[in-house]
Amino acid sequence: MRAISIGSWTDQDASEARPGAGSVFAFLALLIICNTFLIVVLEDAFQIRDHFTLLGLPDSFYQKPLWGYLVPQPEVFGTWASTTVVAAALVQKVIHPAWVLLVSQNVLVIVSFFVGLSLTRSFVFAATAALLAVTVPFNFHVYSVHGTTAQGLLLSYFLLAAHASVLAIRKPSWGSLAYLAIAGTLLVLGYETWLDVGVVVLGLGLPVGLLLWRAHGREIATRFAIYVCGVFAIMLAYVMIKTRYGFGSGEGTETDLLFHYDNLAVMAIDYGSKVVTFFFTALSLVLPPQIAGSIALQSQGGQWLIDQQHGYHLQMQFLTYLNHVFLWRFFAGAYFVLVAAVGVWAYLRLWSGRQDWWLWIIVVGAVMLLIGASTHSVVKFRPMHSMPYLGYQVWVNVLGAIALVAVLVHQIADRFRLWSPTLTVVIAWTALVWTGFAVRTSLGVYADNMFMGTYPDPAGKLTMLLGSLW
Amino acid sequence: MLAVSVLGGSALAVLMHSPDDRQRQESAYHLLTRFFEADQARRAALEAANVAPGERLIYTTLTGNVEANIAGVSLPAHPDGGFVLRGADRTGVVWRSPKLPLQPETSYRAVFDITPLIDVPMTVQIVSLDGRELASAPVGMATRSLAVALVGSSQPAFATIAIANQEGDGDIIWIREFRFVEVSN
Repeated sequence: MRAISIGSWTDQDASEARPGAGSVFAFLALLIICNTFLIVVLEDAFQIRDHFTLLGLPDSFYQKPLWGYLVPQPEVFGTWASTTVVAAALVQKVIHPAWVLLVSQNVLVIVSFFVGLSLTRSFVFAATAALLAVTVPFNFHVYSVHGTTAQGLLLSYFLLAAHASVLAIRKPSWGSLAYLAIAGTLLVLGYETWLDVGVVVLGLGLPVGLLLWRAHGREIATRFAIYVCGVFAIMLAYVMIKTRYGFGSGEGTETDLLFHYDNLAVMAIDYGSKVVTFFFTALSLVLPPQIAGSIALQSQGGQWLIDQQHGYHLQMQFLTYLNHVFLWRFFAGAYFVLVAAVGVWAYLRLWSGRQDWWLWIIVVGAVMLLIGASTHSVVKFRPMHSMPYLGYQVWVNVLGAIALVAVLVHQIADRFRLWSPTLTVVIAWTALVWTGFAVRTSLGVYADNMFMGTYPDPAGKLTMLLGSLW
Repeated sequence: MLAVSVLGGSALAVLMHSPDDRQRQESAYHLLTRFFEADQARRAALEAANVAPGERLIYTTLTGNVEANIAGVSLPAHPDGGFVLRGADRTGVVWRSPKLPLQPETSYRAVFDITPLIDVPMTVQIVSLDGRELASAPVGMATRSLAVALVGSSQPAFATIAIANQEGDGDIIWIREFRFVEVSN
């Protein structure tokens, strides 16, 4: 069996750092077992219900011909999510929604690993990405509003489409083009926010096109330009169909657009604040809560914070509580500048002639993380955006964050090894596992404060389970 | 590698988890609703105090401008209005009002609604800047409201609450309201 390259630290540690297929299988099997235990036992997924049933859709909705589900659904606010939400609703007529959640999240684990491995040839990168598919609670809101049980599939479609895009641009063939067509169709029909991917592609178009021209010549740059134009054409067609047949963005609706402000200054402020908000909503899912917001709010609660004013300026004491609610914005601004700077640095390194894969991942990942929620950014600021917890809205940013963290772990293992790269990776993964638990607890705190339902607390459940053993 | 990481990360999560974190949370809606309901009740009481016949309001804790003027004392809000006076191992003055401007030959009255939370002797005092006691009244466990009458001098004064002795840490007294008014003759 051919050994799998583990990345650039294989040069010195090949004997211990080249897992074979058996090890890869064991790794993925253990990861899926852990993910299943997390979702079924610690997060109690079988509490969730079918979203469309809760919405009270008539039986006639389930009796359409199959092609009828491939277009915007007038019964569900014109939603156009055929290969995720709608498909899940159809399947959930037969099986419990928790099974759909479980399968889609585990599919993402597997796809993350193999796409990561194929693109980078680094086991550390691929394995870290797969681990992050488990630890990052991008879909935690499914426990409050149960409509995104198939969100993992959406992210998987994107990863497959991205993989197919790279293959088709590198070396087009009937096979790679067919792969791109299938993955692209699944993605486009997955959720309206696939347009976020299109915006990222457009944003990368000129800088990456110039880079490809400089590094690889005119032919591949031309193919990339055709690809960008193709994505743009599909976006235009999609928007025309969506606005003609499934436009549900009137004033007062959840998706009330900021263009309805009829005031340029308000539009600009709203848009800017949303870009940073969504950036951080994704990034905070991979950060320890201690460096992502007010840990005092979490540990003491809002009333305690108000009480600490001890009578001073009684009428306005509530602002001291809101200070903690919005404290994350300081972190968001700082991290936004940092990620932008790292992205520019990586681009300049590539421009100077370096061709490391991880520099490409940083450039693409940074752009995804910074501007990956374009469609939600043109929706008016809503109260629910006062705290960073709705990861499902920013799934493109989330994938950017996962890519950057996976690169970081790879680089740490490669450059800053302590006693051995294996130990370094174990320490990094341990931190990611702990962060996954801690972030879930924090998301529950945010949802409590925002009056947006109740999230499970896996760390609390695990503590209780362990306590019951003794 | 994965097994060790999962076990290590999970152990860290369990060790660092606090079950109280979630229990302390409530929605901003409920917290602020309760806050503003209390504020409205306080403002209504303040408005009523301002129009009391034969009185001119000099100072009341109902304005919301209540500060801990004594070091080592805190004044968290009480859920049923007013505030709780909290401290540790204290003897003597535990709360002091801002300066009360007194005019010569003018009558004043202190009206308070206070509930002692510990069983030690307590006294409400009106004290001049140089420390002279101008008036005082005991606050017993059953006492909720008392009037202290005095005739002012040209010197400002403070209203204070003094206790005989308190050992340990905790709530000392619940001050629902302390009001100081000028009384028309």
